[in-house]
Amino acid sequence: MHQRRSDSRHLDHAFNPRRIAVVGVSSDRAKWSNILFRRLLAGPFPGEVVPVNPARDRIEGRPCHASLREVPGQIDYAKILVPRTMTEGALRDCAARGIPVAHVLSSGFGEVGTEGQAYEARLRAVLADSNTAMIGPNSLGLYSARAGLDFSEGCHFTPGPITFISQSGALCTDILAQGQARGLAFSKILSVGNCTDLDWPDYVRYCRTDPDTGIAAFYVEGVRDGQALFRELQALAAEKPVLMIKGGRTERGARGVMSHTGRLAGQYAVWKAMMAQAGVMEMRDLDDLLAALVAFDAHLRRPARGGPMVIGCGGGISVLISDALEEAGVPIAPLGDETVSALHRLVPDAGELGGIDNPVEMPVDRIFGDPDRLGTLVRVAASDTTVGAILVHLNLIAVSNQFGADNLDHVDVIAAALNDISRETGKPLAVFLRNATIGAETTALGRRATARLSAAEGVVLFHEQSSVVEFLSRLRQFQENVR
Amino acid sequence: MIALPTPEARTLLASAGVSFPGWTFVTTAAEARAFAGGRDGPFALKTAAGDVVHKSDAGCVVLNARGADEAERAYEKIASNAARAGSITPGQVLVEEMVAGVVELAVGLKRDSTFGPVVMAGLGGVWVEVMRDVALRLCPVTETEARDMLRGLQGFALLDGARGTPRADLRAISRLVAAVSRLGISCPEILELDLNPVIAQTHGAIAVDARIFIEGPHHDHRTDPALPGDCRHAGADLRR
Repeated sequence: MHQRRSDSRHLDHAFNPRRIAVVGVSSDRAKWSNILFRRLLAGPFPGEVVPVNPARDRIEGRPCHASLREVPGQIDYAKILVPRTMTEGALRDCAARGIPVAHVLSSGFGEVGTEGQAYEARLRAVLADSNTAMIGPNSLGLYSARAGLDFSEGCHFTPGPITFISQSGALCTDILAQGQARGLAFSKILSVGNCTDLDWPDYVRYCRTDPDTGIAAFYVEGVRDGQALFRELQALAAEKPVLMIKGGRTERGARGVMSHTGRLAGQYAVWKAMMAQAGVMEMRDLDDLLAALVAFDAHLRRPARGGPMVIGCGGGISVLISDALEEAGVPIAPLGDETVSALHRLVPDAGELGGIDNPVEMPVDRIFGDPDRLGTLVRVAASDTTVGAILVHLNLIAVSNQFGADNLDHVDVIAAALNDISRETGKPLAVFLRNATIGAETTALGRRATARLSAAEGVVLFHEQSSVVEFLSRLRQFQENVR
Repeated sequence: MIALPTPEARTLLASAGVSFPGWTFVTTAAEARAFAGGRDGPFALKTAAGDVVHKSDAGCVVLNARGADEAERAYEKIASNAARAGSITPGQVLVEEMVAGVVELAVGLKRDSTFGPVVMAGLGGVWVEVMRDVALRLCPVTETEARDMLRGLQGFALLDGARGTPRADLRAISRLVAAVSRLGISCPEILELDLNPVIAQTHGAIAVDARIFIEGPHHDHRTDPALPGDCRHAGADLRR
């Protein structure tokens, strides 16, 4: 459509701006526009931030301009927070100055019905012959690790390969907080709002051309040009892993989409087919997406190939894990004869234990009593070429019964052993910590083990079986598809 | 949305590479007799009148007619039943050879408001209607992609020689699916297309029933083809 304006360089001005104008900054510290402005000033963004508000001379100590047209010097990125009635004028100023990107955070457009749609149509008209591209309206904002821009309190700016683009602003805040808490590092996060000008095909294309994006994740509700989206997704997926959640899969959900971004959700069966055809990995929800991102991160750090090696105490749980993995299409690694004999040599009474194979299942005192033995067992098993990941399941009730409910030192010993094992094997190590929490109570052992294992190098910690299985299943997908 | 008359639909599909059983469109008992007399059969005869809605219920379908005499009798029965059903063209009848095969499929096209033409392939009968075992792809698809669609069906084993049954000609089915998908692109006038059933054989795949829906209003196809432009370039002579 607007080949010129949807050029990916335009979006670069939003993610890596030199000088930002914020239009509609309130001097009232309780207002969102003021909070956002102060955060820009206080944050690590190295460039200048210029406030625009006709009613004030200075805001937060900065000289304030009456309109964008009066701001001297270059502006490459304008954030627009004025009410919807004034958005058109602000956008006209952006167009007149040739500002590459206008990012409209204001809401009250297509998502609220006919009157809003009329305002939205006027924005489109203003942009028609301009060199300004618009993100939004109804956008929450963006996060850029490189530029030090954010939309949420409490995040850090350690750069990583993940770019998440979403038709919901709230999901952006969730992904950033939950993802960083899981050790993930993002390149960019963008809330696209109603996609009145720049639309999904543009954003997908940007992810392909952006060298900082190593994996792209999208939350999509609807799109104007489905065929263009398909082509861009196909091109992107040929180069980088692409994860996507489609919102509005059901009739009920689709009705919600209309009032959320003013879009039609479309027929889910066709979306599903389109994603598969484009080579996109479909995610059901945020948990699913986070699990996949964690798996991708683990794969980047420790590329390996093969099935999981399952080791721990408790026969029933070993069986259930094996079943769940098999059902999820991730069969456990078939250990070679040499590995099995080596394991038998390590455990002379293996015969009495019912043999040693994958899964390795032993009484708690035997496996978690002696960190050296645990280390040796895992090292030997992990060295098998069929093993692409290790899963250690640790039952804290058994640990408590055997070594004492107050024996935090022993939990430290186990965690330290797993940390060492993880470092030595170089393969992704998942730990499934069972019974850390009983009902609403997290036990002393549970708190200690969670803290120690979260900090352990290369260990990915889980508290539920379904999450471990999900992780290993996504990990396998990346191992098979990502070089 | 209106249905394209059967002969036009078949001509268009045949020009795109879809195979049909030997068939003809007749308007007299003598023509039906002549067609059946020169072939092995058995034959299926059904009314080609567009204004008979429930063809079977109206007694306007006869299956397993063998030889010229049976074909003639079948024609007369259908023509009189169609007249009784109120058709204004009761003499228009389709005669075709009945074919046997490994398994029945359904192949189709529809237009999605977001993604445009979508091609559909599934196993016929209960598999499509009850199990919803259907593969979808945006048009066009290559033969290789079409084969992937078939492999993705839950009931794929039925095409692939399950329980010692003969194996269906996957290549022919894939070619047919790809051809239908290209029609989705070259004929934007087609809103919906249904080939059901398609008989998959050990060598070949044959569409037995074809329906094409185009945008209304109704045109007289003899003088004013409803499918203009690109579709005629596909080689179909709609003014037969």
